[in-house]
Amino acid sequence: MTSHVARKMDSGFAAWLRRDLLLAYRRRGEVASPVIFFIMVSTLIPLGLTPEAAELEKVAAGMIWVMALLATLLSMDALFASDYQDGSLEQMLITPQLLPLPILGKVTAHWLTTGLPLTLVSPVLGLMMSLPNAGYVPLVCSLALGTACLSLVGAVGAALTVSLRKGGLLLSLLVMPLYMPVIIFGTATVSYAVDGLNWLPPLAILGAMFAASVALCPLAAAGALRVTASN
Amino acid sequence: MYFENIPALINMSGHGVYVWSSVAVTLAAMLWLVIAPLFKQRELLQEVSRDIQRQQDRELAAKTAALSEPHEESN
Amino acid sequence: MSWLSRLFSKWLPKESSNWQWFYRLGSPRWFYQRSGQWLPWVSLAALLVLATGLVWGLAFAPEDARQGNSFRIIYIHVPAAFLAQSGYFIMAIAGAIGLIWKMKISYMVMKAAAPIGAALTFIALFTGAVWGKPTWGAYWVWDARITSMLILLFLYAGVMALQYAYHSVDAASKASAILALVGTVNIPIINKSVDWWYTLHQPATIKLTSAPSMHMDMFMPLLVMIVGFYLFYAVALILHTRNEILRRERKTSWVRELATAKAGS
Repeated sequence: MTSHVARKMDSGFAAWLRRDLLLAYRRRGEVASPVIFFIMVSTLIPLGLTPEAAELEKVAAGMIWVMALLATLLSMDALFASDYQDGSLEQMLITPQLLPLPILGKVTAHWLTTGLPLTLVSPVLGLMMSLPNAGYVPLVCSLALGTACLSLVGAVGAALTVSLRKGGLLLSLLVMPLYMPVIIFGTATVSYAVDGLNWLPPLAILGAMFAASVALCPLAAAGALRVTASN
Repeated sequence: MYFENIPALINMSGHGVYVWSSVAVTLAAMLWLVIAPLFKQRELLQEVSRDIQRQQDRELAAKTAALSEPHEESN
Repeated sequence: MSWLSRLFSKWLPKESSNWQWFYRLGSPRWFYQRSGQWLPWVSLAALLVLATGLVWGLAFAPEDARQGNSFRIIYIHVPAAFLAQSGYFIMAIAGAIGLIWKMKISYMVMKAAAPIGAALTFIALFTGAVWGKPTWGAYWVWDARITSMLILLFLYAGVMALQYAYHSVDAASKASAILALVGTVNIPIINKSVDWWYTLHQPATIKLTSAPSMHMDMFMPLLVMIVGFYLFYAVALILHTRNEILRRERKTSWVRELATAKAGS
């Protein structure tokens, strides 16, 4: 009995994860755009600020983090939008599985297609912005955990705005204030490492935020979808 | 009173501008929070009574039309 | 959110018990009539307490040894900041009551609380900025407290924007209630993070509002002002809620009767 329930719960997560990854694979161009955005904006910063390495390395960590946040936000409203338009979101709402699990599957797919590529590209950007050597490992670690938080919290905002015609801009308005703790500890991880301090404590706090988001955000998103998707 | 006279209270040894501008803006915002809904309430009630009036007028017009129509036909 | 209702159904008050006031409170008509009776008294109390606190704080309290007279801004800055924070929680609790007990009136309270809270947050930010000029020599300093207030203003803006984005009253109420709850969970995290971030970047400057041992003569007027702001908040919330009731119940017979009575008089 329990194994049956467990399998059922798992299938909700895995099925939606597999489906979204397959869809992402078929629309590779769309998936690449947040990463391209991430790289393009980072060329604007030396142009707008200064090309001097000494100046750039001071702002490198913060800038990379802000751009990663914006790139995630840019891709966030697509999380439920196409499912809402083609009706598969309705299907998800009436499945017998617990709703938070399919949502978690979708969010995982979203992270694998945006957060993870951003994380993997970030060392290159660090190089372009003359990030000190000590900062690379913390940058990658903090981005991996942090973008997962961003995807999870963003899912709540995406669920709240899914049926609105101009939901994208409103979505960024709703979730941006909720993103502030993530960016504080994300940049702190890197700046601790650059200053030669122990950077594990801020990273651990990011980990705690990630754990809390995994537990709570799918629940909130599920509640929100039940309200908004029928309107 | 802590200050010796009213001008001293207004001046507050140079800090008067900051204190009194804060007080003025705060009081203005608080007044607006109270007065705006009072006006809005009047407007809402007037809207409802206008709706009722319009509905009654329509009903009256329909009634007179219904009364006069057969009369016209018989002519 | 039916699972939420089910979760709390144990604590649902019984219809026949002495919880009747709870159900009556849920009736917009009852609330409208009763609040009309309370309003003059609460307003009078708010006016008296605020006037007392303001005169006491501005004219009679002694000045601060380090900040001089500019410290008197505390008597509006701190109560406003206080209410701005409490106001968000009041809004979120009203939203939660709406989601769990499906009480119509609580959604109206929630909608009414958003602009009031935003206005109070604005007051706190403005007075904080003005206070910063004589204290730090600049109107805007990224002080932990002020930064938290700014984020709070964004949170209020989000709830209000979501409220206006939906045409359906039901969807607007429920969606913004969920957002307010998510925000409530986040506020302590945001405040702690900002505090931590501030200590990381800025060594201790003069902190607004942190007199280490505030003298009783200074503290009493502050207490009076906080009570006054709470009373004022109650007045504003009742007024805004009454309008929301009229707006949503305008098709009912009691509102129509009220309107004709008002038009006749």
